[in-house]
Amino acid sequence: MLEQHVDLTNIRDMIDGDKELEKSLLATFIEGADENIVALENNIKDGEDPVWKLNAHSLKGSARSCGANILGELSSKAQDSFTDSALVKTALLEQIKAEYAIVKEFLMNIINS
Amino acid sequence: MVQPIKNFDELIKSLDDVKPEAVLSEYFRLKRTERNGICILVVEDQAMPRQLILEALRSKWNCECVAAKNGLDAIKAYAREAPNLVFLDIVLPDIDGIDILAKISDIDKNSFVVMTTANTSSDDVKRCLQLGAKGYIAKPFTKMKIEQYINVYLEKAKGDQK
Repeated sequence: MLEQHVDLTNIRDMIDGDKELEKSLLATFIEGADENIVALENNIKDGEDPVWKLNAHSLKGSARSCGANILGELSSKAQDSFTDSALVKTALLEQIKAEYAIVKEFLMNIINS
Repeated sequence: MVQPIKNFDELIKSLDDVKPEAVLSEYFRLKRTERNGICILVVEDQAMPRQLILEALRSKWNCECVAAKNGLDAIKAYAREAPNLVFLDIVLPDIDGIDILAKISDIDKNSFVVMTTANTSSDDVKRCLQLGAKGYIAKPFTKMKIEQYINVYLEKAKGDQK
């Protein structure tokens, strides 16, 4: 079931299955994603917001690179909603945080294995 | 043998005809010919994808790699390293990747820039190709996408040597 949330096939192919490097990449992803989510939380405003857009875009790119495709799709929606109301942004961010919690737990288990 | 300048006005006029862009292009070309192997500049603001592509390039293709995480660093790195190939992200925190592409194309007629982005807009693709980009990668990076452009570059370089 977790494969729906995170598919590490591409990363493993890119780095020839180097386990230590994989852990380092996943830790880098988590560090960046944590920062993006804090920035999104701090920038929930009505109307156009380039900071919201840039952080949603960053999270989208990192999530897709990590194989976290559902998180990538939610971030893509958030990026497209950069002109929307604070209410819409709040709802999207809640979905992002719920999905990220699943992804992060899965990745932390790999990092700590 | 050094020849005396016979006609100073003519010399000044000939210097006026030298375009700075042509001088820079020649500088970049010479710098590349001095290099063994190829140097790739990766311009990517997100740490994880940047680390991923750098590791893949170094381990699989044994390339010399340089990274930049914003537009300003990218321009400085290009001028300093004269990379053979550039993977250039379109969305960067400071300068638009398309503006950087335009600048590189202006100063280096032999540049080989491949645009990368998580957004796929056909207008952007068209604009990048018009500005001299050699291709376009929709992220996430994969081995196949990277290899495709490295091979295209190597073929082009082989052709240029003939």
